[in-house]
Amino acid sequence: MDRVFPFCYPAPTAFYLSAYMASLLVHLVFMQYVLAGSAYLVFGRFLDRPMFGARQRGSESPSDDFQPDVIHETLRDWLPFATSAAITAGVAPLLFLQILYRKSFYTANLLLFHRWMAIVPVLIVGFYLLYLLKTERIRRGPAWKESAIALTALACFGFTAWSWTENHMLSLDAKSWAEVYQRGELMHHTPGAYLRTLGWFLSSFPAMLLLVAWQIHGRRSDIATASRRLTYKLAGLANLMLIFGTTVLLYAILLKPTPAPHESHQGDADAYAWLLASGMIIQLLGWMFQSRLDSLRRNLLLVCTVGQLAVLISIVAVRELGRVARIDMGELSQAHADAFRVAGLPIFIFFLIFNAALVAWCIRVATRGPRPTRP
Amino acid sequence: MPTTNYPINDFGPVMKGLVIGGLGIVHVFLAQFAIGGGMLMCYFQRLASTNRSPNARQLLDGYFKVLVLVSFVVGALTGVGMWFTTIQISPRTIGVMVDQFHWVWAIEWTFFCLEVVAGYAFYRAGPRLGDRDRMTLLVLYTMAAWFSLFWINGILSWQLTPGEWTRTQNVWAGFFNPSFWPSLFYRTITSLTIASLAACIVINAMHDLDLSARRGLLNQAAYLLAPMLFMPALGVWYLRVIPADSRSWVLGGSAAMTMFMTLAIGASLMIGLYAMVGLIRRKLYINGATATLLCALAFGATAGGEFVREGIRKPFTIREHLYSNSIRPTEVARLKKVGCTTDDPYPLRDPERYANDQLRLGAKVFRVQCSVCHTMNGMNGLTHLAGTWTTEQRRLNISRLEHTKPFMPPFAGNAEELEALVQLIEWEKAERPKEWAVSAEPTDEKQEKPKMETVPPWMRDKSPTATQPATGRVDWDALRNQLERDRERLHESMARQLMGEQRRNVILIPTTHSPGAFRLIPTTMPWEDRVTSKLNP
Repeated sequence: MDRVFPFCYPAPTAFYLSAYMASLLVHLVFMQYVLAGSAYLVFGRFLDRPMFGARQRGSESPSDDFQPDVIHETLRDWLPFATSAAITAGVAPLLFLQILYRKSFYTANLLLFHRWMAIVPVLIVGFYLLYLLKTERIRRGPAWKESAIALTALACFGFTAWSWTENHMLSLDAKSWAEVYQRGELMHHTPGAYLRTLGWFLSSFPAMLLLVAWQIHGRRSDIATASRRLTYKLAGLANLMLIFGTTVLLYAILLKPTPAPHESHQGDADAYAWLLASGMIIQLLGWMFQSRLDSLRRNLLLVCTVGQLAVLISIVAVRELGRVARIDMGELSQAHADAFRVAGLPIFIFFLIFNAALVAWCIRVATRGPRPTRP
Repeated sequence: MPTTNYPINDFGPVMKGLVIGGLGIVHVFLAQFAIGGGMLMCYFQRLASTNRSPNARQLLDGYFKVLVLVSFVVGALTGVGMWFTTIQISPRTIGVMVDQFHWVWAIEWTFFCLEVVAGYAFYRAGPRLGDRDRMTLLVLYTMAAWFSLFWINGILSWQLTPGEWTRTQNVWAGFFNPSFWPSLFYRTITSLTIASLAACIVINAMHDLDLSARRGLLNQAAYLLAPMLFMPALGVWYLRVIPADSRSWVLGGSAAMTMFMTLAIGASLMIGLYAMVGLIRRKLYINGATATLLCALAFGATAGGEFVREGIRKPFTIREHLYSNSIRPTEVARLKKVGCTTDDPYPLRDPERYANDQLRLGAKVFRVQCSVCHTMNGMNGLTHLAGTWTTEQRRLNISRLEHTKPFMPPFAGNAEELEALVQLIEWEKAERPKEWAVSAEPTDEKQEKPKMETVPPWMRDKSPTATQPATGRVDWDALRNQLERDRERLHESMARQLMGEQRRNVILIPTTHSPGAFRLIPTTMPWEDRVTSKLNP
């Protein structure tokens, strides 16, 4: 038990835990982009700046008088893809979750019943609303209309985030299952669930803003990369939300709403807390230096990315530590060992690498300029 | 080993199978549209790059927008919804599938990622890319989409024909199972058909093209309907490799299965005939309304086919491994002794609704064993199915359920639970009176003593030592022994019956409408397999 979590468990359990946490991390990045991005879109149009000389030109449409906020524009353009990526990336942790904690996950699903399954139609609505925001009619229409649509999309994604948190909390509370079932409750109200959802929401902003910063930086010809105002806005908002969001989320995770009858990993929790603090400091410093510059610098964005990765890894680990303290992992280890013996891992690794290369090729083909067609 | 118990939800008057079936059909239809759509776009991209169709590029860009808006949103999310719904209906089934095939699923996921990235890359960059790059992205998209079908098809076909996996538990033996290839080829052609019909709708929506330009595109899109010619042969191949009993149900053994199969074949036949004669041979123009109607027919055919595929697995969700009510064949003997509700930690949601404890027990038995496919009074309701039976018939038919109806799993509960279920059906049929006598030995001495006439005559006749006629009290141990002896006798008589079957190379299946009557089903299943499957279901 000297090794750090999750490698302190037998190999199969450690393997599936690592695979789950790694895949969850990828999902989280896209999820945070969507959640915080749709929130930003609610106010994005109000952040558009009046264009110089617009009044003298006498343009008829109000949207013609404004220069769009580049963060707002980027988000509106990319949110549908990010949603698709979040859903696709969410399939992998969902798979490993079932191997790791089958009974608790399935039981929470079953107890929440229709309320849980409602996330599917709700996500479909939210997804289509993001496409609606991209239409010319909405882009050129009144700002309140765009905000209302963005707000509805945010409500859809917020509902999904809350449902996942609620499901997670219920899955940890095995003693309440029979009672919850008998009462036929479709909601599992706990103060911790609301606080966690709020924490996830607030802590989504730094990841989203960092990704947007990379996107803007990638468009080298964009005049926005040379805007002091932009770097100041990105850095200020990221740092503010980093402090508030991470604090609320960490507090909610450490609330311990249900007793933890199993082995606690206090040493590991401390280690990840240090990692979290380090990540926060690195990111805060990175953004602070960035805010003093007129353009987005690659090296500083890399520093912020390292900090954000450390924050995300520690949040995922601390969340998982809370779970394993409430679930008998010893009882599950045999099931993990049985699953581990099933054939297919080498073929999966082969296709993971093969398809990752093809994904990279797709991106290269799509990002390079048009090539002349063969005669 | 105790079974894992999960809370079981009541879907009201709607059959659980309809919920998962409805969602599954929409998902399969959209997923096949995405797969066939990729192939169709590669074909049109080829036409565009070789200057054989001046409007192909315009069609491609419009078609891809439809595909992204429909398949990437609803298709992807209904896929996730399928997992959630499957958990709701049968967590044990999805659990076994995940255990056995999680790496296959993970491989499929890598292709799914490629599909999404290639698709969005084409969606965003396609209009400004040259022909070679467009073709590269489309080929990658199509390959990824088809391979996601390849992998998922192995898991789905394994459920009906696990093949050698049953013996060896080898994942690849299960994956490349007997129905894998016919199912894969059939689904590939279905995908092409759906994509081609969807293209006909999209072409009709391209109002900036004149009639002759639209006709040209329609004729080209119709060529992708030609592989439908292979569908009958693939259908026959599929029918030949599925288990004999499953085959017998679609060939007349089960009215519902036969009807849905006929609907699927009929709808496919209509589309196929229209495509071959009208669109390919005579090059007729097909307007938007007709194209939509054909697409609706294709949806109907998909629905019929999927219903049959799910239905012919009965009484299993995973053949020979897990019954549709999530009980394993190996667990039946134990549950017959200890009862199926003994380990169930979940109380009833409305216990006060029932007139006595026996009915409450019956409600729990119904929940565990029946509710996955039946409701009490709604769709496929027990009061409709068993309501006209006499009490004795109910006891006999339910206790030997796998013989009463061959697509039913055996009743896996003890005698007390059987009686409780019988009483529950009777009480429901009588429209839930407030007073209802307990028919068997009450566990609580304060409760009303059972009357002799409520003890089933077949129990009294067959186990004279087990009952005390004066009080009607039942010695459950003796009764259980008697039931075991009955079971052995039944096996002997079945073995004799099978000897006759072997000589005539047929299977005898009891008819459900006239007790005592049998139907003869021709079979090629080896004699030993038949004996094993009947004696050890």
